[in-house]
Amino acid sequence: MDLTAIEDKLKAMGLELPAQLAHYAGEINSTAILAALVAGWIVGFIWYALVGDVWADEASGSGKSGAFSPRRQIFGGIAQVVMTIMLSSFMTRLGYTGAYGGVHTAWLLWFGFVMTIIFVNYANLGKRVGLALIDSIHWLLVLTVMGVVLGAFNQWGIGVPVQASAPPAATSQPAATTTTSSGG
Amino acid sequence: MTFAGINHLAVLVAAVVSWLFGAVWYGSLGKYWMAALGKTREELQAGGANPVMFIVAFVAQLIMAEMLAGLIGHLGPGQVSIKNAMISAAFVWFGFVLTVLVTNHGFQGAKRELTLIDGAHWLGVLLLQGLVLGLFGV
Repeated sequence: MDLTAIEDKLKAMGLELPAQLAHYAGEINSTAILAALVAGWIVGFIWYALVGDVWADEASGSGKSGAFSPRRQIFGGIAQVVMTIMLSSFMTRLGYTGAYGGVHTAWLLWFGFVMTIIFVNYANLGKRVGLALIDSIHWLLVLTVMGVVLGAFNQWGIGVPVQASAPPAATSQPAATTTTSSGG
Repeated sequence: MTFAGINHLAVLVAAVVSWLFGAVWYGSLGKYWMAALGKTREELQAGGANPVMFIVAFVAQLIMAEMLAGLIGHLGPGQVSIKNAMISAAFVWFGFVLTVLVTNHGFQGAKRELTLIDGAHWLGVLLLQGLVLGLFGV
Protein backbone atom coordinates (compact mmCIF):
# COMPACT_ATOMS: atom_id res chain seq x y z
CA MET A 1 0.00 0.00 0.00
CA ASP A 2 1.57 3.25 -1.11
CA LEU A 3 1.38 6.09 1.35
CA THR A 4 3.14 8.71 -0.75
CA ALA A 5 -0.07 10.62 -1.39
CA ILE A 6 -0.69 10.92 2.33
CA GLU A 7 2.95 11.68 2.96
CA ASP A 8 2.88 14.53 0.43
CA LYS A 9 -0.15 16.07 2.07
CA LEU A 10 1.47 15.83 5.46
CA LYS A 11 4.69 17.35 4.16
CA ALA A 12 2.69 20.27 2.83
CA MET A 13 1.51 20.76 6.40
CA GLY A 14 5.05 20.47 7.71
CA LEU A 15 4.54 17.00 9.23
CA GLU A 16 6.08 13.65 8.53
CA LEU A 17 4.97 10.07 8.83
CA PRO A 18 7.20 7.97 11.05
CA ALA A 19 9.53 6.02 8.81
CA GLN A 20 8.47 2.75 10.37
CA LEU A 21 4.81 3.37 9.58
CA ALA A 22 5.55 4.05 5.94
CA HIS A 23 7.64 0.91 5.84
CA TYR A 24 5.03 -1.33 7.39
CA ALA A 25 2.28 0.14 5.24
CA GLY A 26 4.42 -0.52 2.21
CA GLU A 27 4.48 -4.16 3.14
CA ILE A 28 0.70 -4.48 3.02
CA ASN A 29 -0.79 -5.75 -0.19
CA SER A 30 -4.28 -4.31 0.12
CA THR A 31 -5.63 -6.16 -2.90
CA ALA A 32 -4.54 -9.47 -1.44
CA ILE A 33 -5.96 -8.57 1.96
CA LEU A 34 -9.31 -7.66 0.49
CA ALA A 35 -9.42 -10.89 -1.49
CA ALA A 36 -8.40 -12.92 1.57
CA LEU A 37 -11.11 -11.21 3.63
CA VAL A 38 -13.82 -11.99 1.13
CA ALA A 39 -12.61 -15.57 0.75
CA GLY A 40 -12.54 -15.98 4.53
CA TRP A 41 -16.07 -14.67 4.92
CA ILE A 42 -17.35 -16.95 2.18
CA VAL A 43 -15.68 -19.97 3.74
CA GLY A 44 -17.06 -19.07 7.18
CA PHE A 45 -20.52 -18.62 5.78
CA ILE A 46 -20.42 -21.97 3.98
CA TRP A 47 -19.05 -23.77 7.04
CA TYR A 48 -21.72 -22.55 9.42
CA ALA A 49 -24.39 -23.14 6.80
CA LEU A 50 -23.18 -26.75 6.63
CA VAL A 51 -22.92 -27.36 10.37
CA GLY A 52 -25.59 -24.91 11.50
CA ASP A 53 -27.86 -27.57 13.01
CA VAL A 54 -25.04 -29.32 14.80
CA TRP A 55 -23.79 -25.98 16.10
CA ALA A 56 -27.21 -25.11 17.45
CA ASP A 57 -27.35 -28.47 19.23
CA GLU A 58 -23.93 -28.10 20.76
CA ALA A 59 -24.53 -24.49 21.71
CA SER A 60 -27.90 -25.09 23.29
CA GLY A 61 -28.06 -24.09 26.90
CA SER A 62 -25.01 -21.88 26.70
CA GLY A 63 -26.82 -18.57 26.50
CA LYS A 64 -28.73 -16.70 23.88
CA SER A 65 -27.59 -17.48 20.41
CA GLY A 66 -29.03 -17.99 17.00
CA ALA A 67 -30.92 -14.77 16.56
CA PHE A 68 -29.31 -12.66 13.88
CA SER A 69 -27.78 -9.55 15.37
CA PRO A 70 -26.15 -6.95 13.14
CA ARG A 71 -23.83 -5.89 15.94
CA ARG A 72 -22.37 -9.37 16.19
CA GLN A 73 -21.84 -9.57 12.48
CA ILE A 74 -20.10 -6.22 12.49
CA PHE A 75 -17.81 -7.09 15.38
CA GLY A 76 -17.07 -10.44 13.79
CA GLY A 77 -16.34 -8.70 10.52
CA ILE A 78 -13.99 -6.22 12.10
CA ALA A 79 -12.27 -9.04 13.93
CA GLN A 80 -11.71 -10.84 10.66
CA VAL A 81 -10.27 -7.69 9.08
CA VAL A 82 -7.78 -7.41 11.92
CA MET A 83 -6.93 -11.08 11.59
CA THR A 84 -6.25 -10.81 7.87
CA ILE A 85 -3.94 -7.86 8.27
CA MET A 86 -2.10 -9.53 11.14
CA LEU A 87 -1.73 -12.76 9.19
CA SER A 88 -0.33 -10.84 6.27
CA SER A 89 2.11 -9.01 8.53
CA PHE A 90 3.29 -12.20 10.15
CA MET A 91 3.79 -13.85 6.82
CA THR A 92 5.98 -10.98 5.73
CA ARG A 93 7.91 -10.78 9.01
CA LEU A 94 8.63 -14.50 9.04
CA GLY A 95 9.52 -14.61 5.37
CA TYR A 96 6.72 -16.97 4.37
CA THR A 97 5.31 -15.06 1.47
CA GLY A 98 4.24 -17.77 -0.96
CA ALA A 99 0.96 -19.68 -1.03
CA TYR A 100 2.50 -22.63 0.79
CA GLY A 101 4.16 -20.26 3.21
CA GLY A 102 0.79 -18.69 3.85
CA VAL A 103 -0.70 -22.03 4.80
CA HIS A 104 2.30 -22.80 7.00
CA THR A 105 1.97 -19.53 8.88
CA ALA A 106 -1.79 -19.85 9.17
CA TRP A 107 -1.53 -23.35 10.60
CA LEU A 108 1.17 -22.34 13.08
CA LEU A 109 -0.95 -19.48 14.32
CA TRP A 110 -4.10 -21.57 14.38
CA PHE A 111 -2.55 -24.50 16.20
CA GLY A 112 -0.70 -22.40 18.69
CA PHE A 113 -3.15 -19.70 19.53
CA VAL A 114 -6.62 -20.10 18.11
CA MET A 115 -7.21 -23.77 18.75
CA THR A 116 -5.67 -23.63 22.21
CA ILE A 117 -7.66 -20.60 23.29
CA ILE A 118 -10.92 -22.02 22.08
CA PHE A 119 -10.46 -25.33 23.85
CA VAL A 120 -9.33 -23.80 27.11
CA ASN A 121 -12.03 -21.16 27.23
CA TYR A 122 -14.77 -23.53 26.23
CA ALA A 123 -13.67 -26.07 28.81
CA ASN A 124 -13.77 -23.35 31.45
CA LEU A 125 -17.19 -22.29 30.32
CA GLY A 126 -18.52 -25.82 30.45
CA LYS A 127 -19.30 -25.88 26.79
CA ARG A 128 -19.32 -29.09 24.87
CA VAL A 129 -16.31 -30.38 23.01
CA GLY A 130 -18.39 -30.54 19.85
CA LEU A 131 -18.84 -26.79 19.96
CA ALA A 132 -15.13 -26.24 20.45
CA LEU A 133 -14.43 -28.51 17.51
CA ILE A 134 -16.89 -26.73 15.24
CA ASP A 135 -15.58 -23.28 16.09
CA SER A 136 -11.93 -24.37 15.92
CA ILE A 137 -12.36 -25.94 12.53
CA HIS A 138 -14.16 -22.83 11.33
CA TRP A 139 -11.09 -20.75 12.15
CA LEU A 140 -8.80 -23.38 10.67
CA LEU A 141 -10.63 -23.20 7.36
CA VAL A 142 -10.81 -19.42 7.40
CA LEU A 143 -7.14 -18.98 8.27
CA THR A 144 -6.01 -21.57 5.74
CA VAL A 145 -7.96 -19.92 2.95
CA MET A 146 -6.66 -16.50 3.94
CA GLY A 147 -3.10 -17.80 4.03
CA VAL A 148 -3.43 -19.33 0.58
CA VAL A 149 -4.98 -16.21 -0.92
CA LEU A 150 -2.48 -13.83 0.65
CA GLY A 151 0.44 -15.99 -0.38
CA ALA A 152 -0.84 -16.67 -3.87
CA PHE A 153 -1.53 -13.02 -4.59
CA ASN A 154 1.99 -12.14 -3.58
CA GLN A 155 3.41 -14.99 -5.55
CA TRP A 156 1.49 -14.11 -8.69
CA GLY A 157 2.21 -10.43 -8.29
CA ILE A 158 -1.40 -9.32 -8.01
CA GLY A 159 -1.56 -6.03 -6.16
CA VAL A 160 1.69 -4.86 -4.62
CA PRO A 161 4.28 -7.64 -4.45
CA VAL A 162 5.44 -7.72 -0.87
CA GLN A 163 9.05 -8.29 -0.02
CA ALA A 164 10.31 -8.56 3.50
CA SER A 165 13.05 -6.21 4.41
CA ALA A 166 14.33 -4.86 7.66
CA PRO A 167 12.36 -1.85 8.85
CA PRO A 168 14.35 1.37 9.12
CA ALA A 169 15.78 2.20 12.51
CA ALA A 170 13.76 4.75 14.43
CA THR A 171 16.42 7.41 14.00
CA SER A 172 16.79 7.15 10.24
CA GLN A 173 15.50 9.72 7.74
CA PRO A 174 11.86 9.54 6.65
CA ALA A 175 12.77 8.73 3.08
CA ALA A 176 13.95 5.27 4.09
CA THR A 177 14.48 2.71 1.39
CA THR A 178 11.74 0.17 0.90
CA THR A 179 11.83 -2.55 -1.68
CA THR A 180 8.15 -2.56 -2.59
CA SER A 181 6.88 -1.14 -5.83
CA SER A 182 4.26 1.58 -5.88
CA GLY A 183 0.64 1.43 -6.90
CA GLY A 184 -0.98 -0.57 -4.08
CA MET B 1 14.67 -16.11 6.57
CA THR B 2 16.75 -17.88 9.15
CA PHE B 3 15.72 -19.75 12.24
CA ALA B 4 17.28 -19.14 15.62
CA GLY B 5 16.39 -22.52 17.12
CA ILE B 6 14.02 -23.35 19.96
CA ASN B 7 15.09 -23.54 23.58
CA HIS B 8 12.68 -26.07 25.03
CA LEU B 9 13.59 -25.29 28.61
CA ALA B 10 12.51 -21.73 27.91
CA VAL B 11 9.26 -23.05 26.48
CA LEU B 12 8.58 -25.12 29.60
CA VAL B 13 9.34 -22.24 31.95
CA ALA B 14 7.18 -19.91 29.87
CA ALA B 15 4.27 -22.32 30.04
CA VAL B 16 4.59 -22.78 33.79
CA VAL B 17 4.87 -19.04 34.43
CA SER B 18 1.86 -18.20 32.30
CA TRP B 19 -0.16 -21.04 33.81
CA LEU B 20 0.57 -19.74 37.31
CA PHE B 21 -0.45 -16.30 36.13
CA GLY B 22 -3.74 -17.76 34.96
CA ALA B 23 -4.34 -19.35 38.33
CA VAL B 24 -3.67 -16.04 40.08
CA TRP B 25 -5.76 -14.08 37.59
CA TYR B 26 -8.87 -16.23 37.78
CA GLY B 27 -8.34 -16.80 41.48
CA SER B 28 -8.49 -13.11 42.23
CA LEU B 29 -11.18 -12.34 39.65
CA GLY B 30 -13.26 -15.43 40.40
CA LYS B 31 -16.27 -13.48 41.54
CA TYR B 32 -16.36 -11.26 38.46
CA TRP B 33 -15.70 -14.16 36.16
CA MET B 34 -18.59 -16.17 37.53
CA ALA B 35 -20.83 -13.13 37.28
CA ALA B 36 -19.79 -12.69 33.67
CA LEU B 37 -20.53 -16.33 33.05
CA GLY B 38 -23.87 -16.04 34.73
CA LYS B 39 -23.26 -19.10 36.84
CA THR B 40 -22.76 -19.80 40.50
CA ARG B 41 -19.87 -21.61 42.07
CA GLU B 42 -22.08 -24.63 42.75
CA GLU B 43 -23.14 -24.88 39.13
CA LEU B 44 -19.56 -24.71 37.92
CA GLN B 45 -18.27 -27.29 40.33
CA ALA B 46 -21.15 -29.64 39.70
CA GLY B 47 -20.81 -29.35 35.95
CA GLY B 48 -17.17 -29.87 35.21
CA ALA B 49 -14.17 -31.80 36.39
CA ASN B 50 -12.04 -29.06 37.83
CA PRO B 51 -8.62 -30.75 37.73
CA VAL B 52 -9.12 -31.49 34.05
CA MET B 53 -9.54 -27.80 33.36
CA PHE B 54 -6.16 -27.02 34.86
CA ILE B 55 -4.47 -29.76 32.87
CA VAL B 56 -6.10 -28.65 29.63
CA ALA B 57 -5.00 -25.12 30.34
CA PHE B 58 -1.42 -26.20 30.99
CA VAL B 59 -1.18 -28.32 27.86
CA ALA B 60 -2.66 -25.49 25.82
CA GLN B 61 -0.15 -23.04 27.20
CA LEU B 62 2.67 -25.45 26.51
CA ILE B 63 1.58 -25.58 22.87
CA MET B 64 1.25 -21.83 22.84
CA ALA B 65 4.72 -21.28 24.22
CA GLU B 66 6.22 -23.69 21.70
CA MET B 67 4.48 -22.00 18.78
CA LEU B 68 5.39 -18.58 20.09
CA ALA B 69 9.00 -19.66 20.41
CA GLY B 70 8.96 -20.89 16.82
CA LEU B 71 7.44 -17.65 15.65
CA ILE B 72 9.95 -15.52 17.54
CA GLY B 73 12.78 -17.77 16.37
CA HIS B 74 11.80 -17.01 12.81
CA LEU B 75 12.65 -13.39 13.34
CA GLY B 76 16.19 -14.60 12.86
CA PRO B 77 19.27 -14.86 15.05
CA GLY B 78 20.18 -11.59 16.64
CA GLN B 79 16.59 -10.46 16.43
CA VAL B 80 15.46 -12.34 19.50
CA SER B 81 15.22 -9.86 22.33
CA ILE B 82 12.82 -9.33 25.19
CA LYS B 83 11.31 -6.34 23.44
CA ASN B 84 10.84 -8.13 20.10
CA ALA B 85 9.49 -11.22 21.80
CA MET B 86 6.92 -9.29 23.78
CA ILE B 87 5.93 -7.22 20.77
CA SER B 88 5.42 -10.39 18.72
CA ALA B 89 3.36 -11.86 21.54
CA ALA B 90 1.24 -8.73 21.71
CA PHE B 91 0.62 -8.82 17.96
CA VAL B 92 -0.37 -12.46 18.13
CA TRP B 93 -2.80 -11.62 20.91
CA PHE B 94 -4.29 -8.71 19.05
CA GLY B 95 -4.58 -10.46 15.73
CA PHE B 96 -5.66 -13.95 16.66
CA VAL B 97 -6.68 -14.26 20.27
CA LEU B 98 -8.72 -11.12 20.77
CA THR B 99 -10.35 -11.44 17.38
CA VAL B 100 -11.39 -15.03 17.97
CA LEU B 101 -12.66 -14.27 21.47
CA VAL B 102 -14.70 -11.29 20.32
CA THR B 103 -16.23 -13.22 17.44
CA ASN B 104 -16.99 -16.43 19.28
CA HIS B 105 -18.29 -14.73 22.40
CA GLY B 106 -20.39 -12.45 20.27
CA PHE B 107 -22.06 -15.29 18.48
CA GLN B 108 -22.73 -17.13 21.71
CA GLY B 109 -24.23 -14.17 23.49
CA ALA B 110 -21.58 -14.00 26.17
CA LYS B 111 -21.33 -10.88 28.27
CA ARG B 112 -18.83 -8.18 27.39
CA GLU B 113 -17.17 -8.61 30.82
CA LEU B 114 -16.31 -12.17 29.92
CA THR B 115 -14.48 -11.09 26.81
CA LEU B 116 -12.64 -8.50 28.87
CA ILE B 117 -11.62 -10.93 31.59
CA ASP B 118 -10.61 -13.69 29.19
CA GLY B 119 -9.00 -11.31 26.75
CA ALA B 120 -6.89 -9.66 29.42
CA HIS B 121 -5.95 -13.07 30.79
CA TRP B 122 -4.60 -14.23 27.45
CA LEU B 123 -2.79 -10.94 26.93
CA GLY B 124 -1.04 -11.49 30.24
CA VAL B 125 -0.28 -15.07 29.31
CA LEU B 126 1.22 -14.18 25.96
CA LEU B 127 3.17 -11.20 27.24
CA LEU B 128 4.63 -13.29 30.07
CA GLN B 129 5.55 -16.06 27.66
CA GLY B 130 7.17 -13.50 25.36
CA LEU B 131 9.09 -12.11 28.30
CA VAL B 132 10.39 -15.51 29.40
CA LEU B 133 11.25 -16.57 25.87
CA GLY B 134 13.01 -13.28 25.24
CA LEU B 135 14.95 -13.62 28.50
CA PHE B 136 16.07 -17.15 27.73
CA GLY B 137 16.82 -16.27 24.15
CA VAL B 138 14.45 -18.77 22.55
